[in-house]
Amino acid sequence: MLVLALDTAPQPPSVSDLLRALLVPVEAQPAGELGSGALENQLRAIYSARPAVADTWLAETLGYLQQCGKYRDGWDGDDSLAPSPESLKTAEYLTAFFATWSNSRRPTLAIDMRGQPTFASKSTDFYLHLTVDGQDRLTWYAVTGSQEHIETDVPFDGTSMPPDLANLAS
Amino acid sequence: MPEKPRFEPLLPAHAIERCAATVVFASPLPANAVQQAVRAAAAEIAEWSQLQPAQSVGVAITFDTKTGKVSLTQPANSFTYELGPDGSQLSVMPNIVIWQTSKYVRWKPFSGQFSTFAAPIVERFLEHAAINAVKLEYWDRFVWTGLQTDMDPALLLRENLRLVAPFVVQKGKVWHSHCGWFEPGPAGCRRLTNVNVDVVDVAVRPNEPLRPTIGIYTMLQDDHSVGGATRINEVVSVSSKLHGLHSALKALLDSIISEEMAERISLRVGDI
Repeated sequence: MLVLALDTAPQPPSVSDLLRALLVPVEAQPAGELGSGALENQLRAIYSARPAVADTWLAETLGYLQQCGKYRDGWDGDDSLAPSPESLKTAEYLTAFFATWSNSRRPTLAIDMRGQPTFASKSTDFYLHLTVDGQDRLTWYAVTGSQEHIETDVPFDGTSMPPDLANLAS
Repeated sequence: MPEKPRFEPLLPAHAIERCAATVVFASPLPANAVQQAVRAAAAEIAEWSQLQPAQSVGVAITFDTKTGKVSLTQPANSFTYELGPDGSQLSVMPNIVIWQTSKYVRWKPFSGQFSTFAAPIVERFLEHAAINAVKLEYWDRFVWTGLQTDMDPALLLRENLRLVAPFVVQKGKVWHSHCGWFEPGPAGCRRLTNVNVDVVDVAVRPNEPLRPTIGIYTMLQDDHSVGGATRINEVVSVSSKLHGLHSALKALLDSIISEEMAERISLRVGDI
């Protein structure tokens, strides 16, 4: 039996790589060409990393954002305005933080007639409607239990979620 | 007429399935110092309440060469916290701090989360030990829309690519090509680069069948423990280092994948 002590010496793959790979379930299965030995399968699992987007919400939201980037004025009737690239970027940054929320509270992205990205979520004890006001500014109305939360013109630069918004996560 | 098979990035905007930033210290901290660092961070960082304790990582791997079975040893004084379900993770070990995510969107939120959750731990570790190395890793995955037997790596990888062993790259085959090398890095450090390219069948979405993919792992590790290297003594230098590694890794991936794919995932613009 071979025991590998933790070694940060930079040899590929490092043990920390192995650790990380082993810490997540790997769903890759052996393919016909690779053989079926246990060792081979184990190594295959180590190198293949986790099947990444087990997260459908993230993939769909990023896909919708990309689609919204193609909108032009009049995309939904004569009065509808296209979203600005800056507001879409802010919405994209926000997506990274909403991705850490539980499935039941993750909001759905939409573009309103003024071209503003909005995120909305509704469940039994939770409601959120958030608007991206141009670049780096957020406004939201939320209800958690019986408590209302209203915040307007809150700065958001993409590096961390505003604390009052993050507190709505749970 | 059916569409011609092609490679698609894992996500609409990019192909990143995982990203990890690691800070390695010169020596393991004593047990009480690790615990104090975590307790202090938990008490002082408002955002810490968003983290949930998770199963701690091991510091040893037992690898049975007869059966291929790999098992982990649970260590003392190591802590793992998760941000949200099944997503981002902070690992604190006696000489290592890691921030990693499988929900990568852009560099700015990733580096912001590193600053929020990992940097305060690094700052406290610095009171006890010097930083030996800073590492940034990306796992990118490109999904082939056709059958594995038709998969043509030439539609994803650049021609005359030096970083992939040319004799293993074959259409419709399963193969791996891993390489790594050292070279002088910024501020006198020794830089290790890894480029691992793997053809692997992966279940890209839950409950979906396995699909052929090419995974590209790129890693840069700057070792500042070598003679003549400028030591990293401040947490702000770690953030600055990570920004530099991020830019260099974008250039590295750009040298591996085709022009078309580099444009498709906006590798040369923005802060992917």
